[in-house]
Amino acid sequence: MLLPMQTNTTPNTAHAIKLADRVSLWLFAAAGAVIAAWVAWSAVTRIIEVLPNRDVAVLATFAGTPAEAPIGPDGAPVPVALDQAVLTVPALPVASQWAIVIQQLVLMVAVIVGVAALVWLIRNVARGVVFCRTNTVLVATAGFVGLAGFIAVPFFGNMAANGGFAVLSERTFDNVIMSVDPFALVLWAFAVALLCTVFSIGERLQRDTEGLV
Amino acid sequence: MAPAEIEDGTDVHCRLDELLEERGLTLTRLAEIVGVTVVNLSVLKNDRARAIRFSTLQAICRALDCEIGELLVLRPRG
Repeated sequence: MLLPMQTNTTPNTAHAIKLADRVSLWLFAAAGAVIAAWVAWSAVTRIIEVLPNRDVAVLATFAGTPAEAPIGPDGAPVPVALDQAVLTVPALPVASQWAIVIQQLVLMVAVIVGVAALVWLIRNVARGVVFCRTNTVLVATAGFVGLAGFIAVPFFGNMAANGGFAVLSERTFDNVIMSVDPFALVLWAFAVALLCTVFSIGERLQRDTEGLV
Repeated sequence: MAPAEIEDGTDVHCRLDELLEERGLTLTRLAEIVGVTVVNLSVLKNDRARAIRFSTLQAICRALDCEIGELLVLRPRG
């Protein structure tokens, strides 16, 4: 008879990790909680700032657009290639305004879910439970939520910036850029897939060798 | 793939207790001779092992001067 797959997250003193490692893990967890709280606070602040839709500051990415900066002798203007700038838009189109709200919500959810999954993982690892079904699911959740945020946050930011460009240039300025760095995305996706594979293989090995003498 | 569970009403019983008693050995002494931890031998003795390495089996049988069939027997499930 094949037994149903079980999730075992019972503390395992035989595989208990060293105190120093446990302290480091909990420090990471504390740092994660602080980051999550800070991101949630800034997201809410940003949403409150954007909702009235008056003089909204929007971060825009440029594709090397020529501009002038006062960095010459006595503040003389010098031509520079613009990479990023904050645009102050009198009133954003509704779609762009909501793009910022969605961007902030996605960011907040991605960070909170990711950090919660990692803190749960840290708790299990600190108790000596490394490879189990729960940890595999936690790693996959943190990884895929992080990846989704990595794609969605710049995408909605780009939508908002395009709205800003449209208002300021009366639809005469075209700024075609990719919102996500494909190289970084591939690297992150590879790292997430690798971690998920490692945890699921570890889980299977642990199950296969349980009770082996 | 994990091996299938056998459902024939029998269990593998390890006779380590009896063999140790017959030879006047303790689990700790056997662990020293065989080079396996007392915890692992205890798992084996209490029928909680789910698999055994050939090397462990060979070392125990050599230390106890017995056959594999004397150490491991099939018995009806209780």
